[in-house]
Amino acid sequence: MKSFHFKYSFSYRPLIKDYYPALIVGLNFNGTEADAMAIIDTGASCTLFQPGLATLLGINITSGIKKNMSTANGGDFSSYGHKIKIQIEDSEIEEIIHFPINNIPRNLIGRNILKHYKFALEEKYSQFHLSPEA
Amino acid sequence: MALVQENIFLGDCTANSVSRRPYYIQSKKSQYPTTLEEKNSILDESISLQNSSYTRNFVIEGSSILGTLLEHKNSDRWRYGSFMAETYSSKHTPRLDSILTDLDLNKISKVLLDALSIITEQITIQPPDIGEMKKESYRKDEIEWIEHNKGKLNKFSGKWICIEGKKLIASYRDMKKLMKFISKRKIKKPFVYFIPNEQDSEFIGAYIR
Repeated sequence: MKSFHFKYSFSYRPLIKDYYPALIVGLNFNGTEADAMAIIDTGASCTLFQPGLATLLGINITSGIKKNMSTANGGDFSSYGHKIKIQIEDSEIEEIIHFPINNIPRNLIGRNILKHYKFALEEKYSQFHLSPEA
Repeated sequence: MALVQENIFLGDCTANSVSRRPYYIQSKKSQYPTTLEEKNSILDESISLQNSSYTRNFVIEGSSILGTLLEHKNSDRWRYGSFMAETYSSKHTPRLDSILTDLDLNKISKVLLDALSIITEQITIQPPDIGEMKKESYRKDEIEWIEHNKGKLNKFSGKWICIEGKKLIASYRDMKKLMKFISKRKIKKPFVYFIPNEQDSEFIGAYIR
C-alpha cells in the first residue's frame, strides 16, 4: 500500500456557511504584501482571487494577461493574470493569479498553484494535508 | 490488549477536527455534523481545547492499533468525549514499532474499555505523524477569530474586514478606505477577508474558456 506523509495537517476552515479546505496565502507584489484565505479548488486550472486584493497589492488589474472564463453555472467574465510571489506556510513560489473586474465571494486556489504541492483531502474528517513538492 | 501513551500538542490544526469526533461517538452514527447549527454547537468546546497538551493513548492488539483516546488532564468529560472511532490497519502502522517500547497492561483504564465498546465502524487511515506536524499554523489567531465569530459575520456582508491577532481592527465596504486605514496603522502585511453577501456565497468555481 502506498504511503503518504505530509508536513502540514489542517482542519477545514470556517467560511460563511460551512467549513472548507482553505489556506492562508501570503501575497507579495513588488514588495507590497497581504495575507488572504483561499479555498483549494481541485477543479480549477487557474487561481482566481478577489479584485480587492489586487487593489491592496497595487496591481493594475487590466494590465495583466486577459482570459475569458466561465463558471459552472453558466456565467462568463474576463479575468487578468499577474505573476505574484505566493507564500503558503513556509514555502514560497511565484505563480499567476487571475483577478476579475467584478468581485467574487471567495478566493480559489487552482491547479497552477496546487502543482507545487502534494496534498490530500479527508472530507469525512474535514481535514486536509499538505507538503511542498521539491 | 495493551495501552501505549504519548504526549501530543493540539494546535489549530487538529482541535477542530477532534471536536467533531465526540459528536460522532455520541450520535453513534457514521456521520459528522452536517448543519451549521450542529457544527456551531461543538465550536465552543473546540476552541477551548486548542493549544493544549494531551495524552494520546493507543490501544494495541497484537500489531494493530485498535483505537486511540485523547486525554486532557483537566477534563474528565473530554476524556470520554474525545475517543476517536478509528482503527488502524496493521499494514501501515509505521510508528508502531517506535511507540511499542513501554507496554503496560495495567494502564488500561475502565474509561478506555468503555470507549472501545462504542466503536461503530472500522476505518483504515494512515496514522498522522504527529511529531512532524507543525504546532501552530500561520495566522492561527485570525482563523480562530473567524471561527469564534462565524455566526456574527453576516453583519459585515459585502465588506472587507481586517483582522490582526484575535482582534477585528477594521471593516470597510471600499477597499481603498481599508488601505488608508492599513497605511495609517503602518501594518506591513495585513490579513484581509471579504464577507460575501448571502446570495453571493453560492458562487462556484470558474474555468478558462
